[in-house]
Amino acid sequence: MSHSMRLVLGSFKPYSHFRPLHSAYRLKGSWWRLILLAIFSFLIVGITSFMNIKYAGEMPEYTGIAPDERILFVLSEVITDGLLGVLTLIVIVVGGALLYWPFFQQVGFKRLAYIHSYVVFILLIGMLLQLPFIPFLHEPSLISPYSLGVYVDLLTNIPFWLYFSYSLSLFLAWGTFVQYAAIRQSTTVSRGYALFWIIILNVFMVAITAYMRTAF
Amino acid sequence: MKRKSLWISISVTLVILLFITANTLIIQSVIAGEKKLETVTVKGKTYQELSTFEGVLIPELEESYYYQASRGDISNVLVKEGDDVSIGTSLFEYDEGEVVNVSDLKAQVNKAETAVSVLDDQLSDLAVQSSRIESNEDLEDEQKLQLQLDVEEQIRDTEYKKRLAELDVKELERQIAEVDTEKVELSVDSTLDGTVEQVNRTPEDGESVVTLLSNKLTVQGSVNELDYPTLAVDQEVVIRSGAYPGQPATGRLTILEDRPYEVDEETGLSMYHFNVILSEESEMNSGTHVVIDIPLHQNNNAPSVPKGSIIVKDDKSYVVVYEEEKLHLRKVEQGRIEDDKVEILSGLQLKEKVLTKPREAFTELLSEKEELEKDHKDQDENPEMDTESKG
Repeated sequence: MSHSMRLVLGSFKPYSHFRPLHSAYRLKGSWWRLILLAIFSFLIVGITSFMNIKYAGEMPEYTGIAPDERILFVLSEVITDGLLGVLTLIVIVVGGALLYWPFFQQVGFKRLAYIHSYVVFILLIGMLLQLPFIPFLHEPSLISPYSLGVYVDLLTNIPFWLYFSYSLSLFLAWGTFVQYAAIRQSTTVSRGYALFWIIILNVFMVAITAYMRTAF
Repeated sequence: MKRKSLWISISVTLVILLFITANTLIIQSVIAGEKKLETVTVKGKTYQELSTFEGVLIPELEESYYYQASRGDISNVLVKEGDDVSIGTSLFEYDEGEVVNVSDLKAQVNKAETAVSVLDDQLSDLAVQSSRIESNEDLEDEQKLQLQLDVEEQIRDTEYKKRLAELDVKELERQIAEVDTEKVELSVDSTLDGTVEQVNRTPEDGESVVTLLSNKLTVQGSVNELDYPTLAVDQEVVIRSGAYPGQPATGRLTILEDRPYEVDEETGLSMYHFNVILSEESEMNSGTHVVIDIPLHQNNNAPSVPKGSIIVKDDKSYVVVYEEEKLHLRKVEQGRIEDDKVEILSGLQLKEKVLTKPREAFTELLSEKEELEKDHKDQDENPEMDTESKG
């Protein structure tokens, strides 16, 4: 029996989509969908980077460069960020699976990586839906109206807490729900155990990411 | 059930939309702001290197007052060890010598002057006698000659006596003048404000009777021959003492001895003394060991920027200057670094603005642009050379 990767279906109807995952011995269509995800990541992150520079003043020197030189300058930043987006996809899929594996060994490393691909897809949807807000609010993509960070931003200016809280968005919650549904379908662990560790591990990953972005 | 789940879905959607709307409004009204270029104004800072030397506080002056046997015996030593003295305080006295009687001398002068006068009269008489002998026609030539010779001999004797009498007068007058103008100094006074360090009540001729140390202190430091060339008179210094922490004193180097006082056994280097005069009175006592900090290679009010504003590429340092809403790449020469601030030796002026964190890629872009502009400029200035090279 095989399970076919359907990112949209799995994101919106995770319980029904992941039910056959436990018994599936083959995961179909993963590679080319992962390649598509990588391209999608590159594009979304690159466009976000461009929008951040153009509309949100993410790179203040941009205003001081002559107009004919701006494209060249921005292009290098956009390509770099796009590649970082692809790298982030790999880190979330592989790193996330590695992190989850000790706690959900029944699921297996491959299936955990498979599940994390859906999380990446959801996060990319979030980034896509964030794009219109950048020119509207003239704030970079970090400042997301989809997250709790807005309220933390009112209280503190500490970069770590800002990055951390802005990462706690509706899309992370959605991704967590999908992970929970998928893992619950694939293992016999209790609901409490699964929910607890999924939330803890996701918060841990967000915290590590926030630390890496603010400490250096 | 379907209707129930529909209502739940609609409710959740509405809540989410409300959440997003509220956040958007908050961001728009409170959090949103413009990102400005982070610049820093170039400020002046003093850079210096401190050389440290050891020293000790000593009295600024040490004076000894000696016994001169030619002036007589010492009658009284008026101070003892530890006494505080000021300028003019009598330290010791000589015995009073014989009082010279001026009136006696004057009487002797009169007597001598009278003798001179009498001798003058005698000379006059002898002169008259000589002329009478010459004019006497009753005398023969031989008799005249003999008598003239006798008179001349008497004149010579009288003139000699007169000269001796005149010399006596002069000597006596001199003695009178000496008594008038030269008063014998019986008391030896202090020439400084200080403390009596040592008293010798039975000195030999030429030995010190009283030794004084001045109240004013100076710092005596030591420098080895390698550091000696870095010092100069009038250098400003800072003096610190472990006994008086947090109370540094300032001073000025006044004396730099040109002869070594010893050779350091460990290093084999000659050691020289130097003196530092304190700018103001200090609580430190004589004998306090201190550390003397002498600033060298001072650069006062040097343009200074944070370390992060400088980009180093191919052994050249650059900053990005923000001027009239434009950015300019400027090559600078770095100097010393202190407290994360870099001394700029050339390329920047005070009060200019530089980016605090210029990106390296941006700097490269600007440098390429400036090189391109320079090439264009060179081509415009020397079109003939280009034509020749092409030919």
